[in-house]
Amino acid sequence: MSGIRVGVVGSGFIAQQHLRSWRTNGAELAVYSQDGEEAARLADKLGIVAAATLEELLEFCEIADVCTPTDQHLPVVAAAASAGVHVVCEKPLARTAAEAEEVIAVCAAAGVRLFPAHVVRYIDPYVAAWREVERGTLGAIAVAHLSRSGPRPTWSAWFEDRDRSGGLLMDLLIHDYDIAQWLAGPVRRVWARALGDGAGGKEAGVVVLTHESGAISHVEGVWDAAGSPLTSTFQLFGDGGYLLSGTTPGTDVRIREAAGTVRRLPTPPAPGAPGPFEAELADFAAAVTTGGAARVSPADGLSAVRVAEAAVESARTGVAIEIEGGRA
Amino acid sequence: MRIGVASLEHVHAETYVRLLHVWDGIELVVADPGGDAVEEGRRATRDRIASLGVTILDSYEDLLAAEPDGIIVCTPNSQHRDLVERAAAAGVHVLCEKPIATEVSDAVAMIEACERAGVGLMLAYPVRFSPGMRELKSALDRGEIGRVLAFDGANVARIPIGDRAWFGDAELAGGGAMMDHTVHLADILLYLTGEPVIGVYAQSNRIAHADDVDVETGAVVTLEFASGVIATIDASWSLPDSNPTWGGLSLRAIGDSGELSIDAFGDALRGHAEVGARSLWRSYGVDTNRLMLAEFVDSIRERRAPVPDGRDGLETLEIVLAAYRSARTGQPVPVERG
Repeated sequence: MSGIRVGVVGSGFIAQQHLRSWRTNGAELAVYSQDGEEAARLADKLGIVAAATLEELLEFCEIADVCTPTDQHLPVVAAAASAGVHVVCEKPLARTAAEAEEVIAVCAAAGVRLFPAHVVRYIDPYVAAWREVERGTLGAIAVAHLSRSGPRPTWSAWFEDRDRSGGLLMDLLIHDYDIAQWLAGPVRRVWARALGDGAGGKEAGVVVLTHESGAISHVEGVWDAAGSPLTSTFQLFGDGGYLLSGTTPGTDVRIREAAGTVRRLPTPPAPGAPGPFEAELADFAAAVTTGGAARVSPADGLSAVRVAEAAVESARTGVAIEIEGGRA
Repeated sequence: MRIGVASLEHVHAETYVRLLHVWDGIELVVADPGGDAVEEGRRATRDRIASLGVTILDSYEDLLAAEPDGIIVCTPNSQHRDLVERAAAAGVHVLCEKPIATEVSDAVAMIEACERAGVGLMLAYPVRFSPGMRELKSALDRGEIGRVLAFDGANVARIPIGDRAWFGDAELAGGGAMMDHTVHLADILLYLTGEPVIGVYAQSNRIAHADDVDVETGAVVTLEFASGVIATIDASWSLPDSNPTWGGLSLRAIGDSGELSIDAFGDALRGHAEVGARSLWRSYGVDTNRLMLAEFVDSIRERRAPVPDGRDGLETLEIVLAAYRSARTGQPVPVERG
């Protein structure tokens, strides 16, 4: 993909992550953000161009990588599509299913590709599990557990506004809704509860998904104090066997200190081996170049938003929400 | 003291027989009516027990005629009531296998019969006696993880029909995996929180062993406690038959300032053997069945009520029955009290 021209829209946490990964992948980069100062700082650090306007960025690039807050995806995607630029859109595709459908529609109408950035599909243990499921080792999935825990996203204020981000049940757990559907097929019923005051303290979400196949996925997530480690686990039980995700430290070096506490030194990426963000963005760029399919389709992104929207609705109303024929 | 084991139909019966057979000061009596003309698993159990030198009586009349101080009821779930009522009428204390019954009316009748007769009715919830579980409760009570937001529990196992087919019979067992496995963790969660469950949401399926049984083999049950705490229980028979151990029971508590977790059967050596090309799992450590039997024996000796009792059994049955209603309707349901 060396030399492909990518314009990243946004300057927050995920924009910075994507910028680094596109750069590792050899893309030609530019950045635009409403926060012009931050965009200039990032551009300076990476030695790339900061576009003065979105139009200027879209004129430069073949792929626009939309990393704005969730409720600001649609207008940026629409602008990119009308400029004839392919789109990578950070998850969730949009704040509501109706908006996600529009995101897809504007891209389809303009004839540009759309790639919802569900990075967990590119994280090693999930990829390994998916291959095993595809191979049929587990048989049909009967029950799955997917859990995710990490620091509250305090780096940007809009996450705290549930109307904008959807909160934990949407922004964090959409990763696992996507993985659940990837591994066990479409979801038809959703029940969820949000726990904790959500006012900056610890917050948890518990979700039960019932798939069209009858499989049940139990999804659980925690937003913890700043600085708490990002961890995720899964257990898959099928009629032919089961698969449990590896222990969290994996190959990381563990240091046992005098006081008995255990610290981890995260394993650095191996030379030449792409991390999940690099693998994800490379897959999207390759799909643009070859015209082939990427691992995540626009329909996958929409479907994950539908489940997330149903989870938020279930937590609000207390009832289980049916997703009829793939439509909540 | 004389303790009777009433029926070898339950897979746990042999464990109780083996423990009581060598128990100091306990005389063991065993009855297994109709057990000689049945499935291989139960016949094999009878043979092993006979080889210990234990006589197996052919009727409950003979068992009660032996005047036991207490009996352990190991008949199929839906057949506990008759035997419990007969024991109560004879002034015999009862330790009843779980779930207490498959209908609330049966459970209530059993509790009332034992109360009237002044005999104890204890429920076989061995995990209550796990020292780790007691430590977990004390850590929660000490506030080690602040306020609990959620519990995440799993009591996942192999399907038990290989040894005893009735576990897969809706009439005899009252259901499948959800009936068999929800109650252990439900009981523990009631014990840990000290609060009632007000609502239940459950989903079940029959993907594993679809051709072997007509009951559910997969079940995820969520309990909503009065304070708003949510607990999830995976009660599935989802481990393959060749799994190196029967299953396990794990529980994680998520608090607003930390997390606690326990693997109640985690004391085990794990390995792999070339002979038979199989994974090894060798449990060691505390035998919670022994501690549970000790409570039954002590409660009789000390003339006091046993813990956990019939009301604990009823409360967990009400939760399981709510889970079945929820799975049927696809919606959360309130728990109906008997």
